[in-house]
Amino acid sequence: MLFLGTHQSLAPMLRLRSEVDRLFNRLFEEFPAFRPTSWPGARSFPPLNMWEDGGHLYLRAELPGVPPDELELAVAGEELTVAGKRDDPTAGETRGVLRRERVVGSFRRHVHLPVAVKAEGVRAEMHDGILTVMLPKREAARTRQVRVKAKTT
Amino acid sequence: MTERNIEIRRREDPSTLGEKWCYRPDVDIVEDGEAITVHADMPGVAPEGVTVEFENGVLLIRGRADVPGPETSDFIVQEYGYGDFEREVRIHHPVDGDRISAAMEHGVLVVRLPKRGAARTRRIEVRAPGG
Repeated sequence: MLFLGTHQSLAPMLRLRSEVDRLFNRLFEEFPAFRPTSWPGARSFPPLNMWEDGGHLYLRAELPGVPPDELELAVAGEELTVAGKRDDPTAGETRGVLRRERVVGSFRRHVHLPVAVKAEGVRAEMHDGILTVMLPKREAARTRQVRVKAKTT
Repeated sequence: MTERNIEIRRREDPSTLGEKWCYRPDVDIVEDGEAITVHADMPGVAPEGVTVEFENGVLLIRGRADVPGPETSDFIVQEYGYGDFEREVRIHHPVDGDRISAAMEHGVLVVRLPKRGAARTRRIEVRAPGG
C-alpha cells in the first residue's frame, strides 16, 4: 500500500516537482508511448488542474474510485485540502497480483490557492471520478473590468 | 450511483487500435481461483462511454471522456490532460468469454474474466497439527 501526503516544509520541493511533472506531462502528451505506466511515487495524488476567471477560481482533480461521500474537502484561508482513501484491489492474501499500477491507499493533498476565496461560497461536485470545485474570489481579489471610453471632441 | 453493467463485445475491427491519440489508463490486475479481475482508472468516463471487447486472449478497453474541458488554456496548475482512454491487456490464462462481466463505478472500470475450467480448481487448506 502506498501512502501519499504532503508536508508544509516540503512545499518548495513540491513546487519544483510540480514544475518537473508538468514538463514531463507535456513531453508525454507529445509522445504518449514513453509515458511511464508504473510511476506512482513520482506524481502527486490526486493530479489537479486549476484555472480562474474574473470572479472565480476553479479546481478539478482526478479521483477515480473515491466515492463522493468519502471525500474530505476543506478550505481554510488560502489553503484547500483534499483527502480520502482509495481501496486496494490487490490487498488480500488469497489473491495473486498480476499488475499493480494504480495509486491506492490514503491520500491528503494541500493546495495553496493563489487568491483569497470566500470559503462559505465554495461549491463542489463529483462526476465519474472527477472532482470539480468552484471557489468565489474575495472582493479584493476580483478582476474589475474598466470600460474605456473614447473621448470625442 | 454510477455503477452500470457494461456489455462485452467481440472485437470487430482490430485495425482501429492506435489510430487516435488516447490516454493509457493505469490498471491493477488480480487473480484468484475463479477469475482474473482488471481494475482500470478512467476518470471522467461515464458508464455509457465505455466499451469492452475480448478476442483471442486480448482485452480491449476504451473510454470516451465526457467531462468538458475548462474554457481556458491558461492554467494556473496543469497536471493532467483531457481525453479518451484506451488500453489492450493480454490475459495469459484461458478465459470463459461468455461470462465476462464489467461495471463502471466512480470512474473505475472493473472487468471480471472468469477462468475457464475454474470449477475444477479447489483450494485445499493445509493445517498444522494441533493448530
